[in-house]
Amino acid sequence: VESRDWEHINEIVVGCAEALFSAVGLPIRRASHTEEVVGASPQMLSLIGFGGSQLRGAVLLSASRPVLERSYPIRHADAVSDDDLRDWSAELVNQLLGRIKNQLLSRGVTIQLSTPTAISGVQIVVGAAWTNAACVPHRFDVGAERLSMRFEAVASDNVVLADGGMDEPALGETDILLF
Amino acid sequence: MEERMKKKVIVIDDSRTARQCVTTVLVEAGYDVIEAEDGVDGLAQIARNQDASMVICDLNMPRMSGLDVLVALRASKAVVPPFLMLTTEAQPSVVQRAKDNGARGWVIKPFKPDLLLATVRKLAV
Repeated sequence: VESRDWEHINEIVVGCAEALFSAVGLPIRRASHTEEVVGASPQMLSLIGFGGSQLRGAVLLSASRPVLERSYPIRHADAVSDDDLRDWSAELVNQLLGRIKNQLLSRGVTIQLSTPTAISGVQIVVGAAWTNAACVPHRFDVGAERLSMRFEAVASDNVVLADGGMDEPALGETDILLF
Repeated sequence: MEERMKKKVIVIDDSRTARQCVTTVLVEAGYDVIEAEDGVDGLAQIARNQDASMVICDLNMPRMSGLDVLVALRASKAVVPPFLMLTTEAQPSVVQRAKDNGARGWVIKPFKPDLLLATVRKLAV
């Protein structure tokens, strides 16, 4: 993959993350810092893989408990449980990769999603899954909290992103199509 | 006076949060909701609740996908309630496969509650 195409892919990834969190009522801002922040507060880490003949890899989302609590879509009288937040974290990474998939589709790249998973812990440090993967961490500020995301992928030799309009998604986010 | 029976909607999604979001909207609007956590569970609930007015189903799930649920229902020749897909997926060929296998509609996550409710009111039998 040309470096220009990796830049486009990362623009897509960042744009999808910003759009997703805006849609769940939590605007995020790309952070100026690039260092990995390994806080002592509990983190939720969700992961989803994808495959395809042109591109395969994974997306990883790491967020603190307050970030997930603020975006949690169901209002509870009681505190939201860790189980609920892990489930929400997995759904978020699933929706994020869904958006990325739809954007890649219009650039001529088709991927298939696996199902997401999530874990919680403290001071979680993640290494790259493959030595030959392109991996770009993205960090966002959410008020005083932070959110990080990684898109890592291995591409086949002949992948070139089209300028757009290759196979437009049938519909966009929140759209409804009746048959 | 006899209370009118509530319409029953089966919601199939492997995300508990996603199921609860749909359930909250439908219960507040007066529907009964049966939840299923994947396609296998969903098929069982559809068989168990033949009076269901509608099915709302995610696509990408462990054990059995939403598309596989549709295919299995079509193969069984059972009477299937209106089937609405609720997913992040928007690939035209996948949407077409669902339509070819009997889906009545497609909703992209995250959904807008009022639009989902309007769709359910239109499709539920």
